[in-house]
Amino acid sequence: MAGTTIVITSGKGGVGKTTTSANIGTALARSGMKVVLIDTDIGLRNLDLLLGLENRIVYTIVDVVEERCKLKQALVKDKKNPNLCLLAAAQTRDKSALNADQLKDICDKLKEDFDYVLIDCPAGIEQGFQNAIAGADRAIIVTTPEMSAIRDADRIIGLLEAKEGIDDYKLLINRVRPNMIKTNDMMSVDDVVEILSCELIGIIPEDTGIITSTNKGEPIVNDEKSLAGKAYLNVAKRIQGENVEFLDLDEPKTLIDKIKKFFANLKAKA
Amino acid sequence: MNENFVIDLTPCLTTPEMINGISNAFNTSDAKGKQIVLKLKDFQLSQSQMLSIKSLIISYGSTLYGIETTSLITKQLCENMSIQVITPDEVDKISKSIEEENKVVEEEALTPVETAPIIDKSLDVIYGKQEENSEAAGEFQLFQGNDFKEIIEDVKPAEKTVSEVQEEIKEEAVSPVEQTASPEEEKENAEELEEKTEEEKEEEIIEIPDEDDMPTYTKGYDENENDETIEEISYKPPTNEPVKLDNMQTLYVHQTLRSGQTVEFDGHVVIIGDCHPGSEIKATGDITIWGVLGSIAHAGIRGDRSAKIRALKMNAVQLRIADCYSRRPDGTNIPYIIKSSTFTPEEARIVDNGIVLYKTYQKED
Repeated sequence: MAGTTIVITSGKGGVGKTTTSANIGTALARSGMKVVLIDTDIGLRNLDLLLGLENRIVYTIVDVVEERCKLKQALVKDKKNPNLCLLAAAQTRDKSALNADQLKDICDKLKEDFDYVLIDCPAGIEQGFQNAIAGADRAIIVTTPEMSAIRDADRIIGLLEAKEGIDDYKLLINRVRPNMIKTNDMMSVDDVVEILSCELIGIIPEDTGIITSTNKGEPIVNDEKSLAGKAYLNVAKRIQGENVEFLDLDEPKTLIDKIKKFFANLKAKA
Repeated sequence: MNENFVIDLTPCLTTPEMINGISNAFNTSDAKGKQIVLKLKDFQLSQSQMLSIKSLIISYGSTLYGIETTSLITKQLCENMSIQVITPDEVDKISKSIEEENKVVEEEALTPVETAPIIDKSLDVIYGKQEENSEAAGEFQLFQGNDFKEIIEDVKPAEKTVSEVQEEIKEEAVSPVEQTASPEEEKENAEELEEKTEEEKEEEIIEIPDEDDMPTYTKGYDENENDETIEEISYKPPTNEPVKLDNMQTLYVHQTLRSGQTVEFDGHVVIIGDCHPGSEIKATGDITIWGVLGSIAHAGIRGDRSAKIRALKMNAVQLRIADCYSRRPDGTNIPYIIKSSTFTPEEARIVDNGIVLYKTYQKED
């Protein structure tokens, strides 16, 4: 089985790379794919927390590279989904503990057993980033509708284009607030896509549920009610090649909103 | 200008021996306040060991002038830590420039003349008079941990009424009352070893009260109260464990361990402070934390299953003792440390191949 390696990167920190990795990974695994998540943020690992697997980590990617354990020993199986595995980063080391070739080797080995290998990239464009993109076939660039995040995403796209081997990179816009876009306080999705001139793979609305899900160690895609969870499920489908429409983020939530929208639609028709 | 003083550590093969050698040199000679030159030969030092040695020397009021070594790793470490690397020729020059008296003192520092009687006495306290053993080794090697142990093992069969020698004061306090107190009881507080000079240690051994004098502490741990959160295993109280003298070194850390920081030590580790999630503590002996343990702790990393982990508040992500491992239940998988003003000290040890937590006994009024 030859799987696909997808690196999830952004350049800027705090835009939601790790959240995106955890949720896309869980969503893909839920659809029956065999998925492994690799945390390459050595020294500042967080992916294990988001998946609630912190207490299960015995060996890390650094142990694998330094041959203290076998690759399969270091894979931590998810609590709920046996299709999902995590290869955790070491917390007590730094980015120099790994080099690009070693990570590429690991990715190549994992590709034989898994459908998708998702790499959670650290922030920045230094060695950690160079390591993370080394073994990647595809890339997802996460950004938020803010100038700083977009500028960094632009730089990342440039670096990815320069690197051979990554032929497919797509944009995921995170933390979108429809209300602010309506009042012209936030850049719209179309603006961002136009600035970056990059194909879109997902729009994730801002969701306070993300904070609770992070604290609980439970990815938000497992929450059926969450809009962000639905959006991530759709991203997972698009990754698998399905053609799914983008969510209507303006969808009314409360009853009053629904009534308001109903009348607004009537007016528009009349 | 400070004078130089050469400490020859070439006969030392392990870190405890080196630390012993250095402290002997300071205790038996006038090395205090001088610039110390260490002769290490090809011994490879890790950064933490180097730091320990450096702080040990500083604690005696001296400064580390330089290190003579043939090990490339140690040389590089010295460069990183801006410690002068001295060639053997320079050491010879320094040694020559030091006055003749100093040389004599230095030789004295490495002979066991001063300290040998202490061991004799401590052995006497436990085993009665055993004269021939202590005379067997006439050199500095007497103080090597292995030799010391062998001596004890030789002696053991001869003595029938040897009662338990506890590793630490805390444990001593919790041993059952029924146990017949023996006049040869010895108590060795491993935690305080490093801080005390040999003389102080001797005093401590002699002044220790018999068990009869301390009945109020006798129920430190409730044997029936297992912590169910990790594993529930019935506990059998140990009966007359074989005598084990603890001559391991202790690392004393007075700071909060934050995420990413590791403490690894050949011996016991005592941490005064909290251990935040993401940090790691590894020791060949016991781990004691005066604070919240919220991270991974691995005691007995060389396979000592009698090693223990104790903390004022046990919130550990994982506990590992020797080859056993237990993890925090998923329900309490909270990624941040919970701090509170109430502490229930707990101790983790291996019982029937599983790690069991013991809470302290709460006395009801």
